[in-house]
Amino acid sequence: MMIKLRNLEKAYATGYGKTYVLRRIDLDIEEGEFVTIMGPSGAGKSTLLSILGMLDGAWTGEFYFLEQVVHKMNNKQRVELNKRYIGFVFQSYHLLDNLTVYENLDIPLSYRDIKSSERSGIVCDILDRFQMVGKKDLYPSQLSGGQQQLVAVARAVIANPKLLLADEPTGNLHSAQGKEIMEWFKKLNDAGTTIVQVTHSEVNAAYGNRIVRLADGWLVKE
Amino acid sequence: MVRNVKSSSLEAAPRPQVYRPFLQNTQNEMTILIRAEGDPLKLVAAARAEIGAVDPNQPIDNVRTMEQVVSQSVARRRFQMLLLGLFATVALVLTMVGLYGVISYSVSQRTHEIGIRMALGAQQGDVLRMVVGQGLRLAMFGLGAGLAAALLLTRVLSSMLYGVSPTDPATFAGVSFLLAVVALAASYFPARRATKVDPMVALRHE
Repeated sequence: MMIKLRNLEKAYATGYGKTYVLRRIDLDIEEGEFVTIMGPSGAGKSTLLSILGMLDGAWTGEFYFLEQVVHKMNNKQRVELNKRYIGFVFQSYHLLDNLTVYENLDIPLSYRDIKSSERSGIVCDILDRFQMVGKKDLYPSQLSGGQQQLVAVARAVIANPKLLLADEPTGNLHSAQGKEIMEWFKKLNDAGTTIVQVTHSEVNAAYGNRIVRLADGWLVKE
Repeated sequence: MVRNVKSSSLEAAPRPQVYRPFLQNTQNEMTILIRAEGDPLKLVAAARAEIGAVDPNQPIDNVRTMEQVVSQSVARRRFQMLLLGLFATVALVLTMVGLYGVISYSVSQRTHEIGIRMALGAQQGDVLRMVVGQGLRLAMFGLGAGLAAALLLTRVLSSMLYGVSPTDPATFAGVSFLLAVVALAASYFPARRATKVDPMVALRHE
């Protein structure tokens, strides 16, 4: 079991009470699954994804990741889990505009204990795999939206994560670009990467093998 | 033969001098120097009494300790030093405030970038190093320019110096170290703030 959530909740203090974003979430995700989280805006989808990605530590409940007890870890330990096992793809790509494609791909490796000589080889390998060698010296502003998202996907998988999280990965792309990104996700999932995506698109959801629905912070029972 | 004596001021080089018996001296003034054990001011009354015993009408004026004599001889230098020191302190404070302001502004401009880096695996230490490193790079650039300018301009101040050369290496090294420490302090607090950035909030910050 890769991910096990039990009674996970997230709330913000508002006035004299609390506003819940996630309520009593129980969720199991096996290794190798391609899970789609769907729901209306404000349902808590992105919040759930950021918790799964160890980017949000302000929640209650139980969270087990690869048998490790995340709810008992401190922030530094969670960041370590993120570095070792998780890659994240954002809707807005979130590339660094002042760095080239090559340098953007190098950033995740620079925060892992990898020698710079090895990093060079890994970056070149991923550029080749994603057919972006000719674009390595370009800046994000010189790329189309689809190309930027492809760089973001490459950046997310460069450290060989076991889990890839994607928050509306095709939200800012037109359909052809979106199809290319989803095809890459399918390839990665076929190669063994567990993928959890948030999307509004039924077309994108069809690439996965399971749909989980959220509404007002609650998991909708199928 | 006697040793050289600085009879006019500390920084003036001793001039050739000849000692003559007092009775051959045509001047009306005499300065008596008394070496005493303990507090020399306690001997003033006794000295006055002894001089009065020789000549009761002899006026006695300007009774001072040797420390007071030396202090008065450097009074102008001391004032210049205090004034320069005050200006230097103000400049140092302004530098620190300015650098703090620049780094703080840079951190606020880079909030989005810091969020991305944290989402990609940067720990708090990585963020701290990045921001402090930026501050130190700025400071080193300023230090380099300042050292070059100081090497050129301190010669102008050489007439105001005593006992130290205008390009004294220890002074240059000490001031450079102090400025580096000030830069580090000015960068540290914005850097600490940067480590508290919530990645998910920062990623929404454009």
